[in-house]
Amino acid sequence: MGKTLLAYRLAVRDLRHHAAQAVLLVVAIAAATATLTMALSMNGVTSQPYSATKAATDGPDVVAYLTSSSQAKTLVHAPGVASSSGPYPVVSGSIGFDGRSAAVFAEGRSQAPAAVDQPDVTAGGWVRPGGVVLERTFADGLGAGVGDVVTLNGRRFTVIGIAVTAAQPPYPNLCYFTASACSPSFNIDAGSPRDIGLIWLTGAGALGLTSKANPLTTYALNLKLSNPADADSFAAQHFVPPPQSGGTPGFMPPFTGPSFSTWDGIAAADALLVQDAQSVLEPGALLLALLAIASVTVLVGRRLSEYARRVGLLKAVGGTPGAVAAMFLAENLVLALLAAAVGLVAGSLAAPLLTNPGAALVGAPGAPSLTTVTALEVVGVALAVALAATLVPAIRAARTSTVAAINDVARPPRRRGALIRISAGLPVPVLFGLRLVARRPRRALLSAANIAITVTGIVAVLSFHATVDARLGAAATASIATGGLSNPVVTRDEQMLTVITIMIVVLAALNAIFTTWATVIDARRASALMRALGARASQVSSGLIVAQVLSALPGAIVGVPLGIGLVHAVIKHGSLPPASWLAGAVLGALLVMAALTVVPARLGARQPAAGVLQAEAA
Amino acid sequence: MQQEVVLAMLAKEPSQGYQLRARMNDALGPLGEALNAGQIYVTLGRLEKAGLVAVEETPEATGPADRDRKVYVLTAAGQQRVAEWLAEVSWPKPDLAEFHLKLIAAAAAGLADPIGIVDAQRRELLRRLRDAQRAEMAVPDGSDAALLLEGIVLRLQADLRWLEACEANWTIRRRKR
Amino acid sequence: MSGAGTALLRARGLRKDYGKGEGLVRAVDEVDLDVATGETLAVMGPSGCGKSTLLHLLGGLDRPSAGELWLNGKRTDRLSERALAGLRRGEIGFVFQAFHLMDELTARENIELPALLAGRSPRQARHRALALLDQVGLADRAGHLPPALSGGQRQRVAIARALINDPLVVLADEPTGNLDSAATLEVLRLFEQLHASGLTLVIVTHDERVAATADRLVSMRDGALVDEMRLTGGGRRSFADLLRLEDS
Repeated sequence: MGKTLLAYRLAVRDLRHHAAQAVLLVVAIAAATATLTMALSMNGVTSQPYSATKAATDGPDVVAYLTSSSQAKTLVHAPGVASSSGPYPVVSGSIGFDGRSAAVFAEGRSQAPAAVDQPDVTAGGWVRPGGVVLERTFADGLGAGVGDVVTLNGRRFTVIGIAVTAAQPPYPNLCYFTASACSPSFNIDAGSPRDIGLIWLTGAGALGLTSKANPLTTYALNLKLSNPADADSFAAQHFVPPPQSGGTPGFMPPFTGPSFSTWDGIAAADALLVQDAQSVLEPGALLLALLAIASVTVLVGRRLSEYARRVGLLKAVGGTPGAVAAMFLAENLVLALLAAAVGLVAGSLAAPLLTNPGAALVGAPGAPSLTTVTALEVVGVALAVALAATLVPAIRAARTSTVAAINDVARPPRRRGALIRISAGLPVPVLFGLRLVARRPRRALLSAANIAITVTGIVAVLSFHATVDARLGAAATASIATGGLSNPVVTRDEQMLTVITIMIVVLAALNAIFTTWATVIDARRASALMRALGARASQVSSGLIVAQVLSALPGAIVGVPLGIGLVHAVIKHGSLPPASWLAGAVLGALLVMAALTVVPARLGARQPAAGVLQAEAA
Repeated sequence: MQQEVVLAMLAKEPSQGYQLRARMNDALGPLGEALNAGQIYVTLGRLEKAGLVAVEETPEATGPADRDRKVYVLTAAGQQRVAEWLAEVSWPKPDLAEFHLKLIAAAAAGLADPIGIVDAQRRELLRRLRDAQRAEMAVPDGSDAALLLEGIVLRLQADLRWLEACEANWTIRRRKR
Repeated sequence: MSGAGTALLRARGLRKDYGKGEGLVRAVDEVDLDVATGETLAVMGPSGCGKSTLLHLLGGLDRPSAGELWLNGKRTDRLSERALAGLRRGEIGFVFQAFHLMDELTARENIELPALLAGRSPRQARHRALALLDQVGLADRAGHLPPALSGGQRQRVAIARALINDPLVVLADEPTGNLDSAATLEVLRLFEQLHASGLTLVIVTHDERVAATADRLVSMRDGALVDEMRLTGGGRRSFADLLRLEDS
C-alpha cells in the first residue's frame, strides 16, 4: 500500500513539474481520438433521419420506373402492394440560375398531396403553375432559394418551394433506373449520369418541357408494400431486363419494361454520403493517431533520463522492475484516458457539424450515436497510442541496472566513421549538422518519421483536391454539365478535409516544435563544446538547422508516395496532384522545420558555453 | 616535548609549572592527556640549566608540591630563542602538535601573526613539493626512488592540505576578534 | 620578472556578478592579474572561491560584468561573440576538468576538431594532430575512442586538442580534478614539457601537486586574490637533501 502511495505521489509531483508536457500529451492524443470519434459515430447516422424522412413523406418501399404509363396498372394491383401514387412523368431538362446551370430531372406532380411520397416542404409551398420546387440539397448546390427565378429549358420559372423526399437519395447521388447504380459520387466513371438535380413541377409544367428532341424520360410510380421487407423480391419479380443489343446511347438504357429502386437501396445510397465522409475521416484519424504516437514518443523520450533516475531510486528502495515499468506506464495511461475523454466529448460535439447528410434528410442527426461500443473503441485507441509510445522506454528504464540509472549513465552516441571523415572538409555548419545526425540516429529517425507523417497528410489532402478537380472537370466534359454548381458531397468532404488538414497541421506543428526543441536540447553539450573550441554561435545554430533538415528530408520525400497511396487506397481512380504542389509540400515542410529550429538554437547560443559544459558534466 | 614549545608558552607571562600544563592541555584538548605530568618540569629544569629560563621563588605561591611554588620566567636569551624558533621553517618529523602549539603561542603572546607563520611554512613546503615532484619525474617510472619520492610528495601534499585548513581557521579567528 | 610591458595576459578590475539585488553573488571581485609570456601561473583556492569563473573570463568563455582584459596587447573584454570565438580558435586553448571529448570521435579526430573549425584542410589538421599525439605520448592511441582511454590519456588528448591551433596561452580548469595520482603525474609531466618549450600556462587547481609545478601561485578567496607566492628561485635542493627530509 505504501508503495502505491509513493508511486502516486511521485507521479503527481512529476506531472505538476512537467504540466506543460502533460497537457501537450493530452492534446496530441485528444486530437486523434476526436477525429476517430467523429468517424466512428457516423455509423448509422443517417438511418434514423432516412427513416424520419420516409415517415414524414410517406416514402415508398419501391419506386418503379416505367416506359409507358400502361405498365402502372399491373403493378398497382400486384399482390403485396398496399398503396401507390403516380405514375408521374419525368422529363430531363437543364436549369440555369445566376450563371450556373445543371441537368435536372423534373417530376410532374399534382398540387393535391399524394398517398405515397409526398415530399416534405421545408420552405415555401408545393407545386403550382409557373413554379418549381427544388430538392433541398440540389437547391444548396445551385444556390437558389424560394423566390429566385430560374430558367428551365429556356423558360422562366419561379422557385416556390424547397422539399425533401425519401424516394431518391439526395443530390448528387440521384439514381434513377436502378438503385445498384448508386455509389459515392467520386467513384463513378466520368460521363455517367450523376450530379443531376431533382425538381418538381406541375404535371403540365413537366410535360411542357418535352420536345421532339427531348421526349419524356420515364414515368415514376411510388409503391408502398404491405410488408416492406419484401421490397427486393417484389422488384426482382417484376423487373424486365433491357434487351441485349440496340438502344440509343444516353441517359436511358433501352428498357422495355419497369425497372425498380427499393427503399433499402435508397437508404444505402443515403448512407453512402456518410461513407464518403468516413472514407475521408478514417485515413485522417489514422494520420492523426500516428502523429499522436510520434508526439508522445518525442515527449516521453525527452523525459527518459529523468525517468531512469527515478526508476533507479525506486529500485534502490525495493521496487521490482515490473512495478517500476507499471508505474511509468500507468502515468501515461491515465493521461491517455483523460485525453480519450476529452476527445470523445470534442468529437461528438463536432460530428453534427460534418454530418449534413444531405440537408435532404429531415432532422439533424443530433448527437451522432455515441454508442458504448464507439466509446470503448476510442478509449482503446487512446490507450494503445500511449502504450505503443511508452512501452519500449518503460521496459528499458526498468531493465537498466540500479546503479547505472541513479548515476544516469547516458546512452553513448553512435560513431559513423565514414560520415565523420566526409564532414571533415565541409563548412562548419554542415560538419556540425552531419555529425549531430550521425551521433543520434534514432532521434534523426524519429524526426524523419514525424515529417513523413505530416507530409503524408498534406499530400493526401492535395491528392484529394486534385481528384475532385479532375472529377468535376471530367463530369463537365460529359454530356451532363455541372455548370458551376457546388457538389454538396464534395463540398462537405472538402470541408471535412479542411478540418482534418487543420488538425493535422496543428498537431504536426506541435510535433515539429517538440522535435526541434528536443534536438537542440540533446545537442546542448556538443553545441557548447563547439563554441568553446572556437565555433561561432551562428555556425552552431546553422549546424543545428542542417541537422534538422538532413533528418527531415528523407521523411518529407517518403511522405509524398505515402500520401498519394493513402488517397488512392480510398478513392479508386484518384488523380495525382501536380508535381509543383508536391515539391511545394516537401520544401514547405523542410522550411518550417528549419525555421522552428532557429528559435531554440539562438536561445541556446546565448548561454555562456562554460556554464552549459559544467552543468552537463555535473 | 620540544623545549622551544615550553619556552614559547612562557613568552606570554611568567607562570608556574601547573599553569603551563593547564595551558598546554587547553591547546591540545584530548591529546593533552597523553602528556606525561612530570615531563614539563623536566623540560623546565633543562631550560633553566641552559640559561633560557629563570626561577623566581615566591613565598605566596601555593600549590600541592614544593615545585609548584616556583615561578618561571624567560631570560633575555630565552626570549631571543623564542623569536628565532618562531621564524624557523624547518619541518620536523610530522609533529603537528608542535606546529599547532607554535601558532597558539604566537597568537597568545602577540609575537607574530599566525597566518604569516602558516604562509611561510606553506611556501617552504610547496618548494619542497616542487623539488620532490621534479625529482620523481626525472627518475624512471616504478623505480624504488620513484616510490619513495611519491611517498614524500604525497605526505607533503597532505601536510599542505592541513596548512590550508590552518590558514582558513586562523583567518576566521582573526575576523572574529 | 614580469613587467607590465611583457604581460601576455592582463586583467584590471575584473568583476563577474550573478543575479540581482538581494540575490547578487559576486563571483570575481576586482581582480588584477598579470601573466608573463612563458610563465606558468597556478590559481588556488577553496571550492566556490571563483577561480573557475576567473579562468572562464580570461578565456573568453564568459563576459565580465566589469573590468578590462588584454591578451597580447589587445583588449578582449569588449569583443563581439564572433571575435571571441576567433580568440578561442586561435590564441587561447582551454582544458577542462571533465575532459569534454566527443565520445564518438577517435583521439585524433577530437584533436583535429579546432583546426577544422579554424578552416584548416582535413589533411593539414590530421598531420598536425598526429604530431601532437606523438608529443603527448599517445601516438599508438590515435584511433582509439575516449571510452577506451584511461583518465590520464583522455586529458592528454584534451591538452593536445588545446594545442592544435598553436595558442599563445593554455588555460586549464582543474585539469587533474578527475584523475588519480598516477594520471596526475602524466599530466604534470606534460605540463613541464610544455613549460620548457615556452608555452604560457594558467592552471586553476586545488591540488597542491599541480600548484607546486607553477612559477607563481596566487590564492583566491571569495572572488578576490588574497595571496601571491613565487615558487621559482630559492635554489635547488640536492637529491640527498630531499631524502633526508624525514630526519630533520
